[in-house]
Amino acid sequence: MRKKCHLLKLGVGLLFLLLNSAAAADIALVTHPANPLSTLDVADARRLFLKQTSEFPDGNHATVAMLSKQCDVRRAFVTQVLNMSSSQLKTYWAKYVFTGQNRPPQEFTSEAAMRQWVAATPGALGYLHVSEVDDSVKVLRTVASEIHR
Amino acid sequence: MTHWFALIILGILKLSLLTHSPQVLAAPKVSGFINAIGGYATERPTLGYPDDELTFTRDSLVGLQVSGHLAEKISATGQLVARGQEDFAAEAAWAYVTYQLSDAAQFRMGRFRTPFFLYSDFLDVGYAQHWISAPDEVYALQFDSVDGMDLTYNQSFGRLDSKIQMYFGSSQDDFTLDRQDATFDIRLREQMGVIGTLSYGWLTARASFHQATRLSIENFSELPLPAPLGNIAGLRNAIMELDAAYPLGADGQFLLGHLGVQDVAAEFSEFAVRMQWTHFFILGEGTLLTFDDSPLAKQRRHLISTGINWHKVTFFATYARANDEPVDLASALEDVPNTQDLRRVLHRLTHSLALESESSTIGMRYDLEAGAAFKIEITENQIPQNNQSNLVRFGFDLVF
Repeated sequence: MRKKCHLLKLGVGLLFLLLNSAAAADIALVTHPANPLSTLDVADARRLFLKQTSEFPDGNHATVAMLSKQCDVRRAFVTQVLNMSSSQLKTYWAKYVFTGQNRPPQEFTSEAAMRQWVAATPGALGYLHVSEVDDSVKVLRTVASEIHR
Repeated sequence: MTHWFALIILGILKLSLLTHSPQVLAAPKVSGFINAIGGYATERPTLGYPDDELTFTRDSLVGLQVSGHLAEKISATGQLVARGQEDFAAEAAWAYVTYQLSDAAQFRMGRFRTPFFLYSDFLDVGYAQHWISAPDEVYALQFDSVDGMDLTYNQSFGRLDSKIQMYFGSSQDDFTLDRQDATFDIRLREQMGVIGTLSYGWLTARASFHQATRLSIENFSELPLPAPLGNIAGLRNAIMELDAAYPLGADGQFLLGHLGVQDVAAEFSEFAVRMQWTHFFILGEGTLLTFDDSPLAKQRRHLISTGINWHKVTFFATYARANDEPVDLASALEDVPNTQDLRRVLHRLTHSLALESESSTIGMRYDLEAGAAFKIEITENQIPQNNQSNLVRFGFDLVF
């Protein structure tokens, strides 16, 4: 019985740690400033970035883009938002690429290029490290990650 | 069919080169996949592998895909696949033109994979699957490409995604009957199907129904049978002689009507469920294939597969079973004297056209990096009147 209590304490401790780390927000999901949407659930964002839907929850058309593999924000985004490993994401897209039905989103090699594209594309949805956000884009949600800048 | 492929590739390359508005049309994309798999069976030839000999051809293949936009809403896709089984001779697996009618609707025309199964669309791409190959018991239809057209419609209701696909076409293929060393030429005419898929978060459910109004196996009468009959044609003659000497009436008509595969109707239905969480998945799939007026068995097949994955490693287990119901032709001669030998031949024939097989597999997939995985599997296979045999397979699956 005593052992169980210790486990419970450990569990609560871990949960607290997880909640605590969630307070540090590092990845910003960004859209064009004219987008009427003000917030976006992580679950809806996941469906959009995996191209399971091409519409924002309010029914407007969305176009998504990813950062390329070299960017640390991409790795954090894949784990924290898509809830996948990079292999799982590659496997996911392999299913669609080889049926000609769908393609992975376009990729940008830098956050500056991503920001520029989002600012210029109505209905765009991308992501940046919070430190890269400026007035040219609108933040729909921030998500915790382990990136240190 | 290679001309289809050549035309489409030429179309993609030519139109991309001629295009003077680079902002609209991107260069054609080339992607590919490689499955390099070796394996050996312990007791007897098992699931296409010889016993006591390590071979590398059965599940190995190389695929190359070129796709490009011919116009904003029109794209073309061609896929060449070279299989170890066919001495790596390249053939056009698919070649089709896609017209994007709207965000939700898509029309395709050309040759594409017949969407019989949950994994049909990416069946050749080992990397996109956890196992080395989908179980032979269920994924057994050899006429797996269709020349025709299809329409796909996607609709979301909140977080519930639905997809309806309808196709129409025909197909033609060479195939080898289970446990018969003869190659046959199978043709399907007026083939059509409808496939519905629903996904909600971790859950995907799929149901499909397919039919061909005219399925023929052109040289079926050459199927070998023991002497003195020789083959199916010989068996038909023997029954006609018997009918002349001892009028069989309706039973004779029934037998002769069932000893061939000419313009028969065939129906195939499938149901699958897949549940996928971050570290755990389970899927099940069942199929039923029936043929009218032929000696071909009612094919009842199913599989269940489950796995856990943690970081780069996935452990999985799969069970698959074929439990076909043979057509009963022998009892048509039950009341006819001196027909024991014929009845035995009919019984053996219909049973040889029905598969009874059970396979249990455990395996591991290790993701070396994004785009490359190593897999190893051991399958225990059981078929009636034979030793249990184990099949060990291993190899690499890549995409690029």
